[in-house]
Amino acid sequence: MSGVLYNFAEKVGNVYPTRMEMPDWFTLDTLNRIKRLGIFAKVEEVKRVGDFTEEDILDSGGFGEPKTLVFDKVLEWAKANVPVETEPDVVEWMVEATAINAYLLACANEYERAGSFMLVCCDDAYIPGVSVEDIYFASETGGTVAQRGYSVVVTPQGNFNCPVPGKQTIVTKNILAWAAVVKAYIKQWTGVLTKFKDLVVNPQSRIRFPNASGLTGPLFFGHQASRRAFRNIVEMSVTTDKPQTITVTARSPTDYTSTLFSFKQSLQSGQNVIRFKIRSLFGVPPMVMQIDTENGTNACLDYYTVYP
Amino acid sequence: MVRLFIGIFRGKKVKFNNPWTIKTEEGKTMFPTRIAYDEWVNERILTEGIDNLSLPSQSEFEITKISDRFDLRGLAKSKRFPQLGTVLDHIEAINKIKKIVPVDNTEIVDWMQETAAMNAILDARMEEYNKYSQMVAKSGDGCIPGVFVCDMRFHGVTGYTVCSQGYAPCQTPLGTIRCTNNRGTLIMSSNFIGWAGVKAEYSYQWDGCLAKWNSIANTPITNKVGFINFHGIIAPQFFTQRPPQQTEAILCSIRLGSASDQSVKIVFRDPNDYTRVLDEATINVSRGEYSINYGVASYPAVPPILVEIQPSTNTTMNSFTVNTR
Repeated sequence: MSGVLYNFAEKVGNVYPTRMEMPDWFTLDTLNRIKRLGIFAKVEEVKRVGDFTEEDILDSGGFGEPKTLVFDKVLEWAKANVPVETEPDVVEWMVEATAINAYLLACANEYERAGSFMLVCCDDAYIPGVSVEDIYFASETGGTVAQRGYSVVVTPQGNFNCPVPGKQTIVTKNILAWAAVVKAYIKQWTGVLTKFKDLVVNPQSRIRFPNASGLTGPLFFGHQASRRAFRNIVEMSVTTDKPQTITVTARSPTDYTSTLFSFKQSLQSGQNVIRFKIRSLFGVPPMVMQIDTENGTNACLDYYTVYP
Repeated sequence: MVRLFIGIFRGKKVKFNNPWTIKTEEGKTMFPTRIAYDEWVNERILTEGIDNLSLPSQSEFEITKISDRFDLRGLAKSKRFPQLGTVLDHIEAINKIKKIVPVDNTEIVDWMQETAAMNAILDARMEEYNKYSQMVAKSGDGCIPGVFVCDMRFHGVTGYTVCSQGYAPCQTPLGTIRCTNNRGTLIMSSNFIGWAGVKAEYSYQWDGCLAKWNSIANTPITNKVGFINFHGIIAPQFFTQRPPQQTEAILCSIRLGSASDQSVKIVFRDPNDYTRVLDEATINVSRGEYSINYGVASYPAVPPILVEIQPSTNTTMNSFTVNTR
């Protein structure tokens, strides 16, 4: 019999958790000690190494949109190709929803190429509704959510309020997801949900950050050294079309709500290589990394390498 | 050769027939359909047990009518569209949502009402089935904004294209599958079970439904599970007929509720290769509740096997139990 160690079971109660493959050397004891005594990260070097390029990216594989990291270009394509004027059953919100779905599917394809899987969906959250696996937007009219100022995202581990318009990162003990509301009309409103089903570990190929009409979502992935070590050196590369400050957060793989460390880093436009060290007296455990980019930017993670 | 994989399910270490994920030759991530096995299940039972299996012939099914009533009590409601109440029938769901959300031709158009009604039905069916396991299903316009479920998605073609070519292409880990218009398509390989329903009329939009079984519900099933009704197309449902212990003979009892006269197809499949049909039978029932009993024997022990039940009208699985003989 063969088996792979994961941080969570496939089903925990009525929850389908975001799972991450764990290395053989991982012990719960290390994590428990770190919670008491801490883990430290320090940025050693940030270097701009190249321009903003769109090489080696993927498309949605079904919509026929241009292969690009820039969301506005996908939106332009949707405006030109979604027949709002000629087809009576195509209405305005569907143009933007199509562009968002195309962009997010390209992101999901890149995530899959890197080795794992995320679920995405953009639709009218009133009817027909927006859901990914066990997460969904409560079905209310656009007028209701706009007047109240937030929409409700229902998860098996509680409800989250997502601003209208705005975005909300959903982190529970074992679910990692992201919600956004782009526009609200009288009845219709465009809701976006992404859920990370299986986390990619140390991605080595390009993955764009989720983007829904300028609202950017976080990218979650696993940090894992090849063996237990007191110090890990990380080299990662992020390409961005505009100068911005990104936020890097490390989370516990056994409880995603537990933050191990977090730092902000300014980046120039183009490709930036960031080297940072992580130290822990009890060995650096496998972690879940979260990178957040600023709204209005188009960015992608080029690679994330851990030594040893 | 049969391989077993260890995983944790509901806090317990269990054996599965498939791993959680598989990388396909094209580099795609596939989530196989898994069956959780009991501790006593081993490679020998899964090979010799299946080879020596004695399944009932058509005449050996003992069918008894329990009641003339077709009872919807015990079925789930959609949490997303609670105002629809308990719905199993597609026409009832569409009529209810049409009253609640009328068409205004600026924001709300026909297809949205229909897909919302289908989503209400699918939400409830998922709720019922997922007490035991995991099935994910969704309905929407298959062209734009599109329908995606787990590792399956429809290609964004228009309703005109679907009508003229007669099928909608669906991207799956098994490749691109042609899903026939106005029909349900079972998407199955040795380790994957999905289903697609397509309803396209000659217009830009069309209604698509995708369902994927991530893991199969094991017997005993004691709560009602409804069968998906997508625009009158009934999807099959899958269960693992699991002997409660290592035994050479079992008695199975299925209770089905049927809305009208119909033929229900029961297909027994190999859990090592879902495409391998071990036996099949067709049972005729009319409106009411039925008890269907049959015996199964094998040596060295009766293995857990996959049971596919395919009705042709609104149907509920009221219970499915397996006892040692």
